[in-house]
Amino acid sequence: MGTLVGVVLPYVAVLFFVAGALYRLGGWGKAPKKLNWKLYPVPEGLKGEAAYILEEWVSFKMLFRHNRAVWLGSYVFHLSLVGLGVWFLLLLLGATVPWLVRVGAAGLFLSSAYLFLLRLWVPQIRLLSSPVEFFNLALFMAIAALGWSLMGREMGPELRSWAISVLSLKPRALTEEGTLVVLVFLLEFLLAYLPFSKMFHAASKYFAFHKSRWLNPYEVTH
Amino acid sequence: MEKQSSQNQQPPKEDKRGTPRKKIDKYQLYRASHVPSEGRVKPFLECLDKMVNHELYKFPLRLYLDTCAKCNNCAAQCHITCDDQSNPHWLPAKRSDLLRKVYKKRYTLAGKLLGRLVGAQDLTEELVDEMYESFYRCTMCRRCALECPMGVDNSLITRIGRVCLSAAGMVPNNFRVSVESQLRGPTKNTSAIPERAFLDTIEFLNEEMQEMTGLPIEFPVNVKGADILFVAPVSDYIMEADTLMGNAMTFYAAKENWTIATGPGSDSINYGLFYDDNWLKDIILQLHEVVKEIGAKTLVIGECGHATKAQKVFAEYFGGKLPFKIKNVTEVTAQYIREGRIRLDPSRNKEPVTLHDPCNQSRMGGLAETLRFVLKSAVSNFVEMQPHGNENYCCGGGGGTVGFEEIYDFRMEVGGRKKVEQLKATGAKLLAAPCANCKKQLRELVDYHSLEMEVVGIHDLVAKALIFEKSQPRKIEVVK
Repeated sequence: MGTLVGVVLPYVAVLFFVAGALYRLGGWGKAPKKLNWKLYPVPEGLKGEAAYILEEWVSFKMLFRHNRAVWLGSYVFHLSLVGLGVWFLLLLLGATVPWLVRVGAAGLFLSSAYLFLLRLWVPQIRLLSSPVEFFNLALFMAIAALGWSLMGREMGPELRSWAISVLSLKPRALTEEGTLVVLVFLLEFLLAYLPFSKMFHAASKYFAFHKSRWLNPYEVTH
Repeated sequence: MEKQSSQNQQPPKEDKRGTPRKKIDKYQLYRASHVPSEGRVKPFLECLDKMVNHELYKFPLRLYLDTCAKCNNCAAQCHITCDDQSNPHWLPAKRSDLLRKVYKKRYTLAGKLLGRLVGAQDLTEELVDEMYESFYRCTMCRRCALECPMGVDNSLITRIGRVCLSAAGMVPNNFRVSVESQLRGPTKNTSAIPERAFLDTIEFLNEEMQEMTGLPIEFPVNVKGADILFVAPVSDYIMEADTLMGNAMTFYAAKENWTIATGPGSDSINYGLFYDDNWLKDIILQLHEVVKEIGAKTLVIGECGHATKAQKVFAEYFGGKLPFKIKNVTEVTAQYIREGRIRLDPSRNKEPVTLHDPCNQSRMGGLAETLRFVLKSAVSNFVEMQPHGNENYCCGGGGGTVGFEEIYDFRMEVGGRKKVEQLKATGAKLLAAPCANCKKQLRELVDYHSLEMEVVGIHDLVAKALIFEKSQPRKIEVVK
């Protein structure tokens, strides 16, 4: 199991991710944009667009303004993901920041669980949700919970040396059996699954705003 | 006895009198006598196949159907659901899901393999019934798209839903009759006004204007070589005499070389925009023929939101590169004011006036500031409603729904509720609404809710504020 998860699946996951991402991005990127479906206000120039998108990314202002309960869960969720990503990058670079992984894992678990319950609790949102929405949140809850259960067991060095072995194309099996292997497996599954799910919205957002809402090839400007 | 009574409560499977087979609220649009009640799945899906691969819609439609996060943020924007989300069928994302689940089942691998687990479902006759009711509750105002964190535009999904329903024969009677009259009828306009009656109305309007101003103001008709061809929604000739006279007086004051036209050039309404691209295209091209025949340099659409949008958004796609420009009449008036071609005295309009932003002009047309500029130039007491501009709420009769008497109660009690709240808070006596659809809905709302407010067009007020110079009347040549 350690060999499969440690040596084979990382590359399979990356392959799925890259293929899926290219398929989705290529599909959106190559699709003809002929519909003049502009929606005002339209930010001025690329700078204006970037400022608009950046503000939305940093604050989630649309949810904040109208849907504070969802905003809270969603904001903590995404911030935790960023925190865990930064922690992992630092780990690869040789720096260990134990508080970051603790805060990140706790934030991820609590926000996923909160959003899961919110989906069940708010009748309108429950009605809109299909099982896959709950599955996605449960996946993150499982990842966060497994990560949390490894705290204090000094997994950092093992994870780092394994990740470096994978990145340098000389993969080795995971020496730790059990929780870590399951955690890494779930992360690999997530990576492979991401571009095929609606969770790929970091990318779709660019197209929805820039290409669909603000760009108009047939605009009658005179 | 008990058994019998419970059987009586079951709605009949198919009722020729027009009971809906699928109810989504206490209002109803579905009339079995007007639309087919079976055999609709196949043509609907054939049309959907075309739409998801259509060069116009492929990109946005797939993007919007693929990426909804199901956060329900749209419901907080919609004029129907912002204050009352008790009816799930009114939620914008739920409405879009009607088409989304069919799309997933038919075009995505996950939907084919996992079905309902990923929210995918086959199209059924019952689902078609539900779509018909639901897609005609949405006014396609696009307010929900403004604040969708994913950038999803439910109005496009609604529109494509209506297009597919149309392919399956599911078209509200009002649309069918109006489009038939405009394209195939002898009068070539949506209200079936015969040319003689149209010209009589013009004559009456000419006399009115001349009596009011003492000036030889009139509507030039079919003048070849005019710089501007002015095409109002034909309903204005029945309902909005003051707006039309305001338009004519503005052109006169600006010494414009303009004309109106008879036949297909008398009507800018394009209901095809709301439900069927074939008709949308035919109506656009029919009007372009008239512009070319007149030889006008600019096609100016009257105070009408959807007519402006239909021309500006789709004209070049369907008509190729055009030899003339397309403008909304308020844009033209704004230009006259800026260039000093007309002068206005705002002190002649002292009553408090507020402005309703037609969705097709402000949020979708980028004209929010232009409308305000012209109105503020013509009145001395302007009051903004809240929210306003791009964020203004729909009147509740957009997307062509204002023409459906079947759901009049829905428009008054549900669709227009938020607008009434906004209007009450302004304290204004006059409500300017530069759109024929909005004007009709707003007048009905004002009557239904007993508001002390008069609905007018922007040009009704411009006309009162116009300062005429003693100019030489131009010779007008009428070509028949």
